[in-house]
Parts: sequence; structure tokens; C-alpha cells
Amino acid sequence: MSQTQAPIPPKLAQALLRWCLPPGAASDCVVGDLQECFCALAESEDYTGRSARRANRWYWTQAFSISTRYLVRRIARGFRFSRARSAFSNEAPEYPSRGNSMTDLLKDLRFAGRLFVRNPGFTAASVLVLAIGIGAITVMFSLLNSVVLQPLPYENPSQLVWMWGSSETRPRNTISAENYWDYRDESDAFESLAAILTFSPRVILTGDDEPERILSTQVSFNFFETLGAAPQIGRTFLLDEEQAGASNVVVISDGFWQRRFGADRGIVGSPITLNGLPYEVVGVLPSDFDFRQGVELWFPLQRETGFTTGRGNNNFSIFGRLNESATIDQAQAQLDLIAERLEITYPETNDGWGVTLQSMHEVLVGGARASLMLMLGLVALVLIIACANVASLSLARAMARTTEVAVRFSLGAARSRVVRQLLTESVLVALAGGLGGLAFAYLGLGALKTWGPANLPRLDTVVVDATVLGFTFVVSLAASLLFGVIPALRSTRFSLAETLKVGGTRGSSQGKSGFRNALVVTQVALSLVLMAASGLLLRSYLELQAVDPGFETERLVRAEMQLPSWRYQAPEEIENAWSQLSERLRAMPGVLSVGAVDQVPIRSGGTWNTIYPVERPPTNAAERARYGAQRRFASPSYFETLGIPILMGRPFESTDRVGSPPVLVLSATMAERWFPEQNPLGKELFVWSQSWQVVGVASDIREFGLDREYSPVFYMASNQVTPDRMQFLIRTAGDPLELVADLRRTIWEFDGAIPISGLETMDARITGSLAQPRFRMMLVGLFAGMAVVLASTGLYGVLAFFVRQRVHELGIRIALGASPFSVIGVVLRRGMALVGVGIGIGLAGAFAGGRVMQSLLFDVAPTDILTYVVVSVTLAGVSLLACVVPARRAMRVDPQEVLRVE
Amino acid sequence: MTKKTGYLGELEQMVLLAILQLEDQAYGTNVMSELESRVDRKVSRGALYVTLDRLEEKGMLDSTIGGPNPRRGGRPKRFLSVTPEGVEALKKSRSTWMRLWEGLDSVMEQ
Repeated sequence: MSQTQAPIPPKLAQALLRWCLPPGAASDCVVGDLQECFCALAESEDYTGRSARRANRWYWTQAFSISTRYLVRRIARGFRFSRARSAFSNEAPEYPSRGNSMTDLLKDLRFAGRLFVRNPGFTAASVLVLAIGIGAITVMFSLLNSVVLQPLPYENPSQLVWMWGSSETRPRNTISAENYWDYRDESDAFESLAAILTFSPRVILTGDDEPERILSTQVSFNFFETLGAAPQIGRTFLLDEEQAGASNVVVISDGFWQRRFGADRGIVGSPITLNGLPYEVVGVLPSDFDFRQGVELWFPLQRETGFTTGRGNNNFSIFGRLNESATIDQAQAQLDLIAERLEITYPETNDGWGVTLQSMHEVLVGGARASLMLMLGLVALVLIIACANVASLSLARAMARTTEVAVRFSLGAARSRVVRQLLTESVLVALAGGLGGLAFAYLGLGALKTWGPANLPRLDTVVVDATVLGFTFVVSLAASLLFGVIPALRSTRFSLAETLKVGGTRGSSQGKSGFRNALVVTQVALSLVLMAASGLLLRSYLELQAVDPGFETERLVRAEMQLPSWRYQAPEEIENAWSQLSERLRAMPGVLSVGAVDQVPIRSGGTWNTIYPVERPPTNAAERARYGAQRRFASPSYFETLGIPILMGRPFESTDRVGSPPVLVLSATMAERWFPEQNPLGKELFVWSQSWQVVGVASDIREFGLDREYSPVFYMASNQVTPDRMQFLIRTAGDPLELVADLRRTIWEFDGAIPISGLETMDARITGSLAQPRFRMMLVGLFAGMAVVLASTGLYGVLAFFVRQRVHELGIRIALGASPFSVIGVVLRRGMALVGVGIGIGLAGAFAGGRVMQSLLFDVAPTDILTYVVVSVTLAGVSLLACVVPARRAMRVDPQEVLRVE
Repeated sequence: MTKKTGYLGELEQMVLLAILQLEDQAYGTNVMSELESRVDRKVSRGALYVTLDRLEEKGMLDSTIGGPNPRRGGRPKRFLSVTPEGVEALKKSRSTWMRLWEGLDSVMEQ
């Protein structure tokens, strides 16, 4: 904000104040007081964007607080005034009179109430239509509000920033522990800089109960402090506990504490056995701490362990809390300098790598924002359709009241007074619609929590809070203006004499029918936009479902197992255990085949390793980063069990075992990348500090989901590298779920200390991976359905009105011998002309706006012609149905009756 | 209708006392901050202005409108002063409380 010009408070808030405060100098002073404080607040801090916004918010709060006080007072006095005028008369009125607006308002309200009671059909229809529109938008807004707009549930979340490792090719990468420690030690822009392991390894808990695999992770000593989370009992970690060889300590989650130890406060300080080693529990986290879903054990990251050694081992996510005085740009500048120094000191690993800061809020919920905003936009269209619908209803009704209005005018009522009366009615209807909408929203949110996708962040925290209530209130008022103002203005503008003479039933309808037609066209056009959006999402979903995952998914069940490290240590022991387990499972009745892999396809986590042909090592770090590929451990029967074709060479065999020459199987994409138009078999690749020979090429599969491209993958033989954790995939003859109990028994007969987890069928896994697109498709489909129903009732209403207006003309036509079909034709032509214009405008709009949907679509262009054609034809068909009823009525007009009236 | 000569409400007393403390500089905003800094009492602006209006209606407050000020968007300040009636009412309140407190020191010290 420049120093010379004083900041200006929000105009709308000032208007609100002026309207609510009594006129006079005293009120001027109130506004002045506010403005003075506002200026002080807006200029109080140097970074202006933030303080200006804060000042604006402050001003609004104050304006609301003061306005409500004065409004309540005025309403209270207004009542007293009208009830006991005489008792009041010896006192001077408090404020110079501004008309009798309050008593007028009360009168208007009473009158509107009486009208509603007398005309329940119109009122109910309007309220219901609005309730649907407002309910839908309230649901979407509550989602947006809770998921995106609310600050993160940590202390001063605006200070929290995420730190990505970035290079030219990989702008958002994780960071190694060694680099993290350097950044932490050398930067002073952060109050604290914390690290958390990007994945959550399972550890085995043994003790009195059955063994259990529990998700754990590793964090820097200051992790909890950075988030502002304090343990409910005990402590978090100390700096010393990051040192190599420090004693074994663990912090546990509230859920784990309740479940496993019955919330025993004595647990702090006592040992528990994890992976066969004693760990001391030093603290219990509060119940609302939920940084990473499912993690129950938190270890300090320790120097010189597998995850923390090696500058190229980017195993950690880093985030920090900025110093009060530091901005994100200052911090970035400082980190750039450190990154440069690291590049020079450790060129092998750090060349080409820097770091980028981003607000933590953006990182955690930014992804959901775009899609929710789009949904909110679409649902706003539904609301506009609802308003157009109610506007047509009120217009029809206003027409019926023309005589009443004319009489009021002739008795000397000012136009503004009549308009205000009509607007009061609109506001009342809108507020009732808003209440209904809240009820719908409440039901809708319940349904959403039950059926919404589980991986929408923070879905369980969605509530109707004060912000949502405020939003609904404002939306209702806005809606009332949208559907109330124009009908009110239009229905009070006509020739008095003309109207009274004719008796008001057929007077001056020409100008208004134009407006009514425009309303129908709007509804049809917006419905088409919604239907097009819904059609595109549906097509995209169908495309997604039709994607070939690259393997056979039916009757395939997964079970994740981990060998207890204190029993199986030597590679031969591990190899032996896995082979025997495989054999036993294979021998179970109903089992066709058993394979094992460390990461199951579709939504798998990934381990990225640098790998390249022995004769072509990378020359710099940037190249090294490009040479990454997904690494998998697979058992000999993995490819056969999943039905992944081997394109060249052979799969792993039982002879590929500990001590035999190291071999690899490549995915087709991987083979194509390094050996285009060559035979990859027999070639040597370098990874894990040694060279491996390629013995086979397997067909590609969708490792990361149906909507993802194939990534380059190389497989190592699990019998050769002997991981202690594998995921078994078991193909069964019948329903795989029936085998689960047998499966457990077989495994535990082999070794009772092996925990089993992650039991699910592959089909369920794939369905789960489609939850978000399915949810979006259904939601938008629902909106489109509402839109079409509303638009076609709107169309119906307009045509019915048209028929009633032209009953004379139609009667005469029939009397003169017009055929029933030509009469139907008149009505249908009229209706379908409106629909045609609406569809045309809608198509243009959908075409123009389709680009915003691009990111949500899979393999379908936002301008997909087929979708647009189908949608237009459907809408035209539904509209035709809506025209038929009034058209039939037109056909049945009895000319005698009509002419008799004349 | 006879005017009720009741006691001052708590907020009314506080406001009147704050105005007296501020001598001739009392207006809306600094009455608020006076209450906040002296007795840590947070009052919403709405409540404060309505209370001021009520006190003025009761004749316990007088206000004079100052000159326009550019920092306030050209709007004046409403300077407040307590009328003799206001001072009287405060005195009455105080002596009432004193009488009720008399002899209770021993109870409160326990």
C-alpha cells in the first residue's frame, strides 16, 4: 500500500453499515471510528497483501457485529412502536424518521405470509426448486470449505512450507537425509526444518498378543515441534536421538495406545518389542494428530542407517516453519546459496539439484482444489437454472396479480413501494428455500461421507459450520435478487388504464413473454453445459475402465507378509522361507498359481533406482537422475500367475538364487528405452554397484493405475536379492475371498510369527483406484439430472402458459377447421424453437468452456463430437416430452366454450 | 410512564468510568481500548455503541461532534463526556456496592 493514499475499507461493508445505522452525525462517527482503526490495521505491517486482507476481514466482522446490534434494536423498537404507540408518544423518537421502513417491512412480511398460505402450490414449488439448487451448492461449498479453505490443523499453518528437491527434469522430488541435515544446519530462515521418511515401513510388534505388523515412519527430532504438536503424555524426540547408535526410542499414536495398551499411562518409559528388539516408548501423541494416515509408530531418523546414508538416497519429505521475519522468497534465496555450495562440494550426487519452496497448504490440498472448484462452478449452474425456474413461476404469478397491482397504483401506491412488497416475497421464498437447502445439504453430506471416495483428503472433517451457514444465507439472498428483481420490475410496468379495462387476464403479455422465453433458453443452455460435462466424464470413465491393465485381474487375491527379522537373517534362510511358503500355498485346494512381488501393480508405491548399461555410465548428476527406473522384486512364478506375457527370453527360474549370476527381466518400455531395435538379451545393466545380465523382457503393465502411462520397470529375482517383505498374489479357481481363512491357517502353520496384512482382491484394488473419477462422474451426473428436470419443468410451465394465453386464438383456429395436429404443431414449434436456441447457446458455451475439464478427462477430448451429439439429442428428446402435455391440452381446446366467454 | 431510576449495568458503569478516565479525549475507539487495557474486558463494537446511545438517552452522557478528519474518510469524531447525572449515578452505584461489601472482608479472605 502506498504511503500517500489511505487504504479504503470494503465498500459493501460500508453500505451495509449505512443501511443499518440510524441516520445522523452519531452514526457518521461510528463509521469514522471504524475507518480509523481499519487504516491503522491495514498499514500496521510491511508485507501488505496479508495485512490488507486481514484488515478487510476485520472490517467486515465489525460491520456485521454493529449492524446486527442496531438491526435487533430497530426491530425491537419497531414492534414496540406498532404495538403501543400511545405509550411511546410522550417520548421523542430516537432518530430522525426515515419513513416508516420498519413498519412497512412488517406489513410486507405479514402480507407475504398471508399470500403464501393462500397460494401454497406456488410457494411449495418455488421453495422446493430453490432448496434443491441451494442444497446442492451448499454441499459442494462445505466440501470446498473443509477440504481446501480451512487452514491445516497445525499451529500457525501459514508459516509452514514444503521443500522440494528440484532439478530440470524432476521439479518436485524428495530429498536425502544428508542433504537435509546440511540445509537444516546452514539455513536460519526457518524456525525449524523437519524431515519425514516418505514411506511407512511396517514393523513387527511381538509381545503377549498375536504378532502385528504396524505402519511406522521416521522423523527428525523437531518434526512434532515444527507442526506445533505436543505429546499428550511423555515427550517427543531429542536431538541426541538422531545420532548413530543412540538408544532405541519410539513415540506411539493415540489409537495404538488405546488399542494395544488400553490407554495405560504407565506405558511411557516401558519397553515394547519391535522387530525383535526392545524399544522404549517415550511419548504418546494426541488423538487429533493425523499427519500421515495409518502410521502408529514414530521413530527418530538416525544417522548412518539404511534410509539416511547416501546423498543420492532421496528418502525424505522436508518441510519447515519459516521464521516470523522471513518470507518464502528470502528463505528460497538463502537455500539457493546452500544448494550451490552443495553442488560444488558433492558434484556426483548434487550437480543440477536445487530446492524449491511451496506453501504446505498448497502441497497437501492443492490437488483437490481444481476439481472441487470445477464442481462448485457446475453446481452454480444448477442453482442459476433453479432461479430461472422460480423467476418464470413468479412472473406467471405476477401476471395473475396484475389487477391487484393496478388497483394499488390507482389508490396511490408508489411503484417503489409495490416493488419492495414483491421483493419481500421473493426474499421470504428464498430464505425458506435456503432452509430447505440446508436440510438437503445435511442429508447430502451424510451420503457423501458414506459413498464418497476414501482418498479425498480430509473428507471426514466436512461439516456445516458458520462459514457454510453464512454462505448459504448469502446465496439465498443473491438467488432472491436473481429471480425476484426482474419479475418485480416488469410486473409493475404497464399501462394502468389498459389493464383495469381488460380485467387483467389477458393484458400486456407480449413484452413479458420475451423475458419468459429468455428464461427457458437460459435453462436449456445451462442444462446442456451440465449434460455435456457429465457426458464427457462418463465417456472418460468408460475409457478408463476399458484400459487393459496388462495382466489378468480375475480371482486374484493379495496377501502381504513380512518375515520376522530375528528368525530369518541369512539370505539362504529368507530364500528358503519364501520358497516353502509359495509351495505350501500352491498346494492348497482351489489355488491355481502363486506369485510374489514387493509392489503390487495399480496404485503401487514405487522404488526408483538409477540404472544404465555398463558401457554408458551417466556423465553428470542430471543425467543420473534421468536414468531412473522402477525396481521390482519378483518370484519365478510372478509373471505366469499374473498372466504377464514374456516377450523375449525367459522369466526367473528356480536356479536364479542366492549366489548365482545376477539377472534382470526388463519391461518392454524399459528394454525399448535402452536397446531400441536391438536384442536386449544378454546385455549388462549397472545397478546396486554391480552389473546384471538381462535374461528376459516382459510385457508392460499399469504399475501406477489405469490412467497412467507405462513406466520403465526392471525386475530382480526375489530369490536372488531375498527381501524380507513380499506381497503374494494367489490365483484361485473359485471366489478368492472364500480361501482367506485357509490362507491364514496355511501361513501360520508355517510360522505363527508372520503377520499378514493387506488382504484384498485385485478387482477390488482396481475398483478402488477408480473411486475418484467414479465419484466425480456420479456427482456431475446428478447435477445434470437435476438441471434437466428443472429445465423441462420450466419449459412445460412456459408452454402451458402460452396455451392458456392463446386459448382464444386456438379455439378460433379449431372452429375454422384446423386439424388437431396443426394445433399441436403450433405449440411444439414454439417450444422446440426455444429448445433449439438453448441447445445452440449451450453447445457454444460447453465448447468454449470445455478446456477447464481437460485435466479430469482420460483419453477423451473436451470437444468430443460424439458426446455433444448424444447430449443434444437427449436433451431435445426430454424437452419434446415436456412440450407434449401442453400441446395435447391445446388440441383439446373446446371452441364453443372459448367463444361463449367472448 | 415514570422513568425508572434503576442501577447502572456493569458495562454501563465500566463505560462511564472509562470515559471519565480519558477526560476530554474519550471517543468510541479509545473507550474500547481503555476497557481492554485497564481491565482486560473485550467489548464488541456493536455492544459499545448501543450502550453509548442508551446512556445518552438516559441523560448520563453528552457528546460533541468534532471536525472532519481525513484519516477517518472525512468523518468526525464523537467526543464523549459524562454529565452530572452520570456522575451522580456512578456515585450511587459505588455507595450501594460499598454498603453491600461492608463487613464481608473476613469472609472473602478465607
